[in-house]
Amino acid sequence: MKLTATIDRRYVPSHRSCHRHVKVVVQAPEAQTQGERPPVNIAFALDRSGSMGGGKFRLAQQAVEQAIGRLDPRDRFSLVVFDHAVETVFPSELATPRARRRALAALARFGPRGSTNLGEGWLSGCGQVAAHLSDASVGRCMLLTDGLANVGIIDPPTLCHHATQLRDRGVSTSTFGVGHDFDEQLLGSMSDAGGGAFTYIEHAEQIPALMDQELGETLEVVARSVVLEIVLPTGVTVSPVGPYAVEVGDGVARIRLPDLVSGQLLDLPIKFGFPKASRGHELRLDIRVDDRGGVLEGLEAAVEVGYTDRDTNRAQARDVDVDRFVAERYAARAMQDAARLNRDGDFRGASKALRSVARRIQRYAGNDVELTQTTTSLEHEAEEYKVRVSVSKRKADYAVNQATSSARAPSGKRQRWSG
Amino acid sequence: MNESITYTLTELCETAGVSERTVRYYVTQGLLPSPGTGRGVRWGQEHFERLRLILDLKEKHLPLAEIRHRLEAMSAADVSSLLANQQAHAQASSAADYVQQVLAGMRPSSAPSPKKAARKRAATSAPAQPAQQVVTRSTWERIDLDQDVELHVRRPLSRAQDKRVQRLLSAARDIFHEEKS
Repeated sequence: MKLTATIDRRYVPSHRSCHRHVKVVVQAPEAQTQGERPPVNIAFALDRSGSMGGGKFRLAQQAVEQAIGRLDPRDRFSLVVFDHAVETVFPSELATPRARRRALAALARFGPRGSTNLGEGWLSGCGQVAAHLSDASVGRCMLLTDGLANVGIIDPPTLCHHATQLRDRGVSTSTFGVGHDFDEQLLGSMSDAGGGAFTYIEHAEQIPALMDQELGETLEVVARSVVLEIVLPTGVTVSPVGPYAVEVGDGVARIRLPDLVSGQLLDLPIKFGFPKASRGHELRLDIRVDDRGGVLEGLEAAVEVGYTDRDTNRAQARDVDVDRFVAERYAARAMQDAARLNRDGDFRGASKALRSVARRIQRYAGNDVELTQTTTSLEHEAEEYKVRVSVSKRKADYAVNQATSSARAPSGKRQRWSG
Repeated sequence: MNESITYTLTELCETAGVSERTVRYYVTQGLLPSPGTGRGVRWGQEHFERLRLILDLKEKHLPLAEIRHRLEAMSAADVSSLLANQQAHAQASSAADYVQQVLAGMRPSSAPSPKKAARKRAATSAPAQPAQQVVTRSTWERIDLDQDVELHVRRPLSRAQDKRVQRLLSAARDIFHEEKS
């Protein structure tokens, strides 16, 4: 278990305000034994609209069977299906063998039909988790859909607002988008706001394996409601690069991080703005991590920054590892923006978003091969995004880069420092 | 306060839902008084309530230094009273209440017929659609600040408003506690 913070450059110029990037790495502890994990309280909210026919809904049922088979009687689960209406197939119960059998029998009675009331289906799943939420458990709603929200609450910012509110109250959200017709921006944003993960399922046959992957990681959560706290010296501003909400008050910035699983490595770039100050002045950014159960208690790091003259500032060495890391995250964010703009028909805007980030990285790339590859790749994508890209490319690009922005591997799995 | 209830360290941790390591850390940081040393040492209800309050304040992301500062000035009775107040409020804004409020607000205007919805779906290729008009139901929450003093809040509130109310409550409690001490 460790917390580190590394700045890209040690000095800032005294004659003007400027910014620097800091790479913060949180290493979660490993759970020692299976018995140590907190109980989970999970809802599965499954889309049963007409488009889920052709075997997709059957595979979702199979995924649920596989998933609840991994729970034990300390855990709770519930099943909700939605089309234009919402039905609670199985209200939240402890995952005893009998409850699992009854739930599957109940789910087997449902088939695909109707349109998609995603908002209410998902909220009903969250409601099932919330009704039995305890301080000790991990509350999560897993939402699976292949379509667009077209009944009930359909406004993405409103759904994301609810996801944030529920996350703050102990119910996080993971989303699964199947096929080509769902809205990846909505599901990605909901999982970002809800503190869970978004998974793109291109082919229905992947549903059981990919839901199982996310459930497996939910069962490994060791730290919940994780917050990075940074004591800000006067005039210093903070802005995380990635899907992390930040609140600043009383001179402390609090950045909300997702729940951490056993042995997880979560790295995030943070952009700091520094005001002008006299030469020789020193600043210190104290950073610590906090979580609900105190698992990460005592983890601290600090970054020191010195004010210097123009020439020393220009001549100083850069930390190439931090530069590469920061460039990768900005590139991922640009790709997400480009996917959205391309979907909306703004091809010029999509291409421009990629080129603009490529140019910025080029300014500090120097002769570094990795940074140059990043800019070349962005330029190449900018060409592709000048016209409408295929739906599968757009969704795959969005999913991979959403995972990168959230410090996960391209497959969507959390990164681990161990094992 | 019921002084007759005592806990072993393990019992205290299980009841409060924290690790033994965390409790020891709070003792070393001066957040919790030490229960003494030796075998068979027992932790009292005051320890339990202080621990619960620390956890509640941590939930609000207060730094430990600030929590210690607040707790220093509080008697056991103050801790009990503040804890009860906070728990009452936490229940009022639980995840279950939140979902209930949102669902109660949306149901009256949701669920058009499947055919109509299917036509709408077929007609819209872009997902950026206008927000549905949601008729929200509101409820008044009455919060006791002190004897003969109440704050009335109409919920649900926006997140920003809710934060302001939290600050208002915190300041009001400080004022009333100051008056008493």
